[in-house]
Amino acid sequence: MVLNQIVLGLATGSFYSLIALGIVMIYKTTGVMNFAFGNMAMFMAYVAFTFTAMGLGPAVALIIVLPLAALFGYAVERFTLRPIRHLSHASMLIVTLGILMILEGLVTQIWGTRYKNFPELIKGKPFVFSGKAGIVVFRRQDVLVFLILICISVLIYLLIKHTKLGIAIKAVSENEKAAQLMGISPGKVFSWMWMFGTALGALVAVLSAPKTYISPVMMVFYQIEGFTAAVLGGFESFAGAIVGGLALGVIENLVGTYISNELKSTFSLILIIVVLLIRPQGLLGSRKIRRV
Amino acid sequence: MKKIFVIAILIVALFAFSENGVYPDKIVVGSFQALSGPYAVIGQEMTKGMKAYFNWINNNGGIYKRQIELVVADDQLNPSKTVIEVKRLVEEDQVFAIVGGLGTYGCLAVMDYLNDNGVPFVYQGSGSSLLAIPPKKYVFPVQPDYTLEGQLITKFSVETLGKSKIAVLYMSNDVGKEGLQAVKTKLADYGMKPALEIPYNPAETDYSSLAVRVLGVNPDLTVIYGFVTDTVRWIKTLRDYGVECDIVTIYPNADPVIITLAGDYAEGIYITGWVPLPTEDRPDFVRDYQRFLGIYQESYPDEQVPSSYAVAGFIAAEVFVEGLVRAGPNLTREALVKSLESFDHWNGILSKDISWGPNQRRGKSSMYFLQVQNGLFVPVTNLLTLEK
Repeated sequence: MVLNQIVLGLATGSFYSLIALGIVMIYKTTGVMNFAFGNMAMFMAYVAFTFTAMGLGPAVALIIVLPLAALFGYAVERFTLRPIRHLSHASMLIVTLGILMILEGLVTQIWGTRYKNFPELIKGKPFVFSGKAGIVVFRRQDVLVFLILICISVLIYLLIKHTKLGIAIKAVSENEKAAQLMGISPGKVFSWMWMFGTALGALVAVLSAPKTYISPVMMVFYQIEGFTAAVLGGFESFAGAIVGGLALGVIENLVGTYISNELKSTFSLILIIVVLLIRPQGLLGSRKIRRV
Repeated sequence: MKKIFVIAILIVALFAFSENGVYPDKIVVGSFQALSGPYAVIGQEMTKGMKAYFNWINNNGGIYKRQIELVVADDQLNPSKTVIEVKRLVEEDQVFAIVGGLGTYGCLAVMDYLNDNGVPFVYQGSGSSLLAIPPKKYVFPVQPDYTLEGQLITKFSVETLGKSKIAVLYMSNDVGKEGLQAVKTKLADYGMKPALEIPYNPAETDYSSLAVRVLGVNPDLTVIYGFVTDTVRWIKTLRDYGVECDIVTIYPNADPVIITLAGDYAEGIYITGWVPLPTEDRPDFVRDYQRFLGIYQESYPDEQVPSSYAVAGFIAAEVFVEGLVRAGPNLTREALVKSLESFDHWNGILSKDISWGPNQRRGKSSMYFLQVQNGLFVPVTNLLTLEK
């Protein structure tokens, strides 16, 4: 039973990890907590739905939507946030909240008020494993998400360790001014991170759409869990976001099974507070030391 | 001078004794709906249903030559906003009545305020039994409450389907908890209790870990107290895990969207219903539905299949208008209450079997059961009550 819950928790946690990664990507470099993250992803899920409604397959729709999402992220960063970057972080937060509300209203105006269905990328009967520990069922799409998480984790590692962009990301997130003096353009790094982050959000929205169904609220739950995972793992650590998401998925399942299912969500919120109190930098984050 | 004085006194007297929201040429009515925000998908649809019916009435001369003016406040399904908006409707806009408010928590938040201020509150987009029990003079619920529904589901499961090992999966909120309690109460009448009770968060996106528990108990019937998307998630998960038992779920799910979203997974599930279904064996219901569709499409010509939320709004308006007609040309709130209390198994176009009376506020006491067969809703029972 415990093994069941751990395995199933990892499947759920994969979604949390991907969301946390997207949030952390944007926060790590630009310092902006993007409250519109979930709704930007939701908007792109509606766009993907439009492509499937036109007769394209879900995989093709996803492939088209990912670069569109990146462009969307670029546009939001370049034209709404960067012009006010010199004002304050609070003003940028307010802009993200504004985008959140605009998108929420916009989708019902464009796509109507009915829930939309979105097909799974991989169809077929789920994998069923039964043994002494009980039965575990894997939907093919869940396995795909877990594999995607592994691939993205490896790609991020390679990007950060072995590319100029990776070095620029690290430099800008450490010290924006010093990076600029070294010839790095922080603006370009911001754009790239918003593009990656938004595309990642769109990926999760499209992959989860067969479960959540496309509606204005489809990403609310994932955004909360993604924030929690990011806090748990460390808001400035890619590895932390991945580990935080998987850990949260497993912990929630264990709490739901052995303590109370009603307390699962409450537990997530308590977890944020506890982690912030005991280890503000998260499980894998590093504490910043500043000179006085 | 004397004439002007008399006229002035008459005008003052007219306003002093006239009813709020009632004018020689119009009746101003309020409603609260989620017109924006994440739940606009429901509120906009319900509003369209109400507007369609009121537009039709107005285009046909109104009620005793009075047009119905609907003022809809946007509360975003947030009860704290509902209270503010409803007070504004009553105290500033001076509406005659509130019709078709949406959302359990919002309706409960303003229920006592409206009742204490003598403002009729007709039709709530909620199934909470607190609206009907204990009866409140100015509050007139139409939708069946979850207590009635839970007991009917249990009766149907035990007496009609012959099931004895019943699991209950319920949203951990007032709707789910009321449903669970009703099932437990009725099961106790049969000397039984639920084989399994699982509360869940409807926002969660994966119920796999909970489905393992259902599989472990292996019930012969599962009752799901959820709304559309989480109910579909449950059905898919249970079937993927090999739980093949019968599934019964509640009337908010009796919408074509559940078949669209669940596809083949929806086959065979039972759903409670209270709005008549236009099926081949009921030409009278087909005729009623066509009439509804005609009225609806006068306002929304592009909508071929109105949603169940639009149907709910239509029924809210239909019931209220019947009350206005019965209240007569000298419209007052007291006259409306009296006229609504005269409903005795009243049938409108879509409203069927509505009854109220002095100290009796449960508008619907009967429901029937549908089953999804070959991608269609098929009625499998007549109207059932707890008495029969």
